Amino acid sequence: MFENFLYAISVVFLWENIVLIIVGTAIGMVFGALPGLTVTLAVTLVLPFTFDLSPESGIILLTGVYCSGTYAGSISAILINTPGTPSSAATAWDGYPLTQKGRSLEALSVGLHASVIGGLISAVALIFFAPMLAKTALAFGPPERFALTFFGLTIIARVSGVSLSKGLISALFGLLIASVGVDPIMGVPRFSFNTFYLYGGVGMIEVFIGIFAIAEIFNQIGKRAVMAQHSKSDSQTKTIRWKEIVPHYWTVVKSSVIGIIIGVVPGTGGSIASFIAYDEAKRSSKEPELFGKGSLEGIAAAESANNGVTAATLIPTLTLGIPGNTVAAIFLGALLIHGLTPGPQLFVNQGGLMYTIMVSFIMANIVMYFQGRLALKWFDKIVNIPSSILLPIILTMCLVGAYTISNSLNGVIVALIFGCVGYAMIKFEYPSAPMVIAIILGGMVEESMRQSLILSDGSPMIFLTRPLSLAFFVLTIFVTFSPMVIKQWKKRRNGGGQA
Amino acid sequence: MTSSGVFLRGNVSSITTLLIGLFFFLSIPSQIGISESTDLSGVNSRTMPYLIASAIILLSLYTIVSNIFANRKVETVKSNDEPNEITSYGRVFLAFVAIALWIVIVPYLGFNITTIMLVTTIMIIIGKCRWWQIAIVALALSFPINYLLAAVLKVYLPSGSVFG
Repeated sequence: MFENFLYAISVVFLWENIVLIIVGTAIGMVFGALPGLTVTLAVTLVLPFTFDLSPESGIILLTGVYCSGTYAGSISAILINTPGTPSSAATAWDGYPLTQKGRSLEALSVGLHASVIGGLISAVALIFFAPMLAKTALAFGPPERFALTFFGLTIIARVSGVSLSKGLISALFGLLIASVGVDPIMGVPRFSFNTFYLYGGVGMIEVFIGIFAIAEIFNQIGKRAVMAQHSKSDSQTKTIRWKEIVPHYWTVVKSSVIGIIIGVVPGTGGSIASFIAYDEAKRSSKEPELFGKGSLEGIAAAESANNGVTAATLIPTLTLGIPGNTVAAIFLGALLIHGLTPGPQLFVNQGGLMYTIMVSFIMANIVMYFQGRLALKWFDKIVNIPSSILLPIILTMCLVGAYTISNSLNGVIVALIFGCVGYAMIKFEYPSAPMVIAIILGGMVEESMRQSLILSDGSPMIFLTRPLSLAFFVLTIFVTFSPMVIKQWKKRRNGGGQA
Repeated sequence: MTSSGVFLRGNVSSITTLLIGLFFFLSIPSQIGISESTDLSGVNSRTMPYLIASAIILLSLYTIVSNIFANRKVETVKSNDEPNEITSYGRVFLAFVAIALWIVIVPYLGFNITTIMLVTTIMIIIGKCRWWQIAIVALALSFPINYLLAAVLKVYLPSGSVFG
């Protein structure tokens, strides 16, 4: 462990990797601060540019984008009452009232400090808990792996949308897309429709660009989104100070831990974490009446929780191969593209790389802090870039990114098709996260299922006779049906009460 | 609107997923071959696609049926609701056509010229921008990006058969 840790430090502190972290955090900050642009979009667009880098450098760049993008959502939430990322929605409740009172810099300062502390605590959790979980996961055989991925997909489908059936359909389409190409076990082509390009399967990154970026561009064009003008803030006149966060120290620590716990559960994410932490901070606050009217404690809770998720969400991703959210799914995709299969074996075979990821999270948060301090004066201007200028820039980046992956227009065609699919999913309220995660996990799901059935001579009982596998299936049933049972029970109780 | 119209409008996405599921289910025999020698324990290349397509069909049917029952319940209390947000599908369609044309034309005219055309079109579709903004953004996104990718990442974007 110690050698890997030293190796990680030596890699992260190479000058080219420090430059990549600085560039990554700058990109993430701009994307996160702009309403309508998400961290997922930023990570997706940067991903094709990591192909020419080493796996370590590529992941370091993505880490910078991820950490600062998650934080920067709070900037537009505070300044113009429009969360840059969904996880910053709770920040806007207290951030914008403070801006209206002329205290925007105080709010931004608390947001930055809480984000950095949340991110650092999350990185420490990743360093300590991921190797422990990986050791446990080493005992997993094909039936356990199948049951676990099945459980992960179900929980993601359950929590990522309003309807379970829509979430499951989305995940199933992801599995179907993953099955396109040559069958990994028997080498038989599937759903190639006599097209040479489809023999290699549908490109993962092209799908991401389509579903996340092009679909969002269509959505913004359809809505004719115009960036709102915000009031003049006081960022030119003051500086950011640590003392503003000190009274909220306990809230920050507690909210960061909430973020870590929620981040570890696949399918959850910063949004849920920030709302739960905000609610908990309000419940335990000495001044709950200030919440929603301009409470610094509320900002501290929401921001430390959503940044607490960042590294924690990589714990199941790296150890079990189950991405915690869409950004973690793209991280997983990045590892696969670099020829690395996530899972417990990765800690055995690529310990240095694993610790590099962990250390890069700490470094990214430190760089993010200094960049945040320096860039705060410019955020007023950045958040006002009109969508008529912004969208063509992002569209061009999407087209270039999709082209550079395979050096052919096939990638751009796939991205455009999935852009239309993604747009239809937005309009019909199908969550995209289960589909994307299923595309990534599809190969693992099928391989482990078929290996298990071969081991048991075709009997599906193998999934129910092994304790761990059975436990995951019981959990799957519980997660799927418990909300319905609780809903029915509450309905009956209320009905009974009224009668 | 007639009851069949209401039914179609409320279930258009589920009907679409049902049709796609059926299409994939029926195309499995023609799209996925099986080799008897490697058919282990009844599990083969078709097993997973069959399971997935069946599940999509069943879930789509379930969604349609549950929508019918849900509609029956709310039909009596439903008023003439106006949608909260108006979407301009015409603009989205024009943007789609512009990107599709970019894909068709780029091998002939090259990245620079087609990107200038695309960016100009998209900015006009979105509206609320001045001609000099269009000119600056279009030029900034074509030549500099092409040069940077070639010089830094050694990625060469199409130069166009007309000019190449």
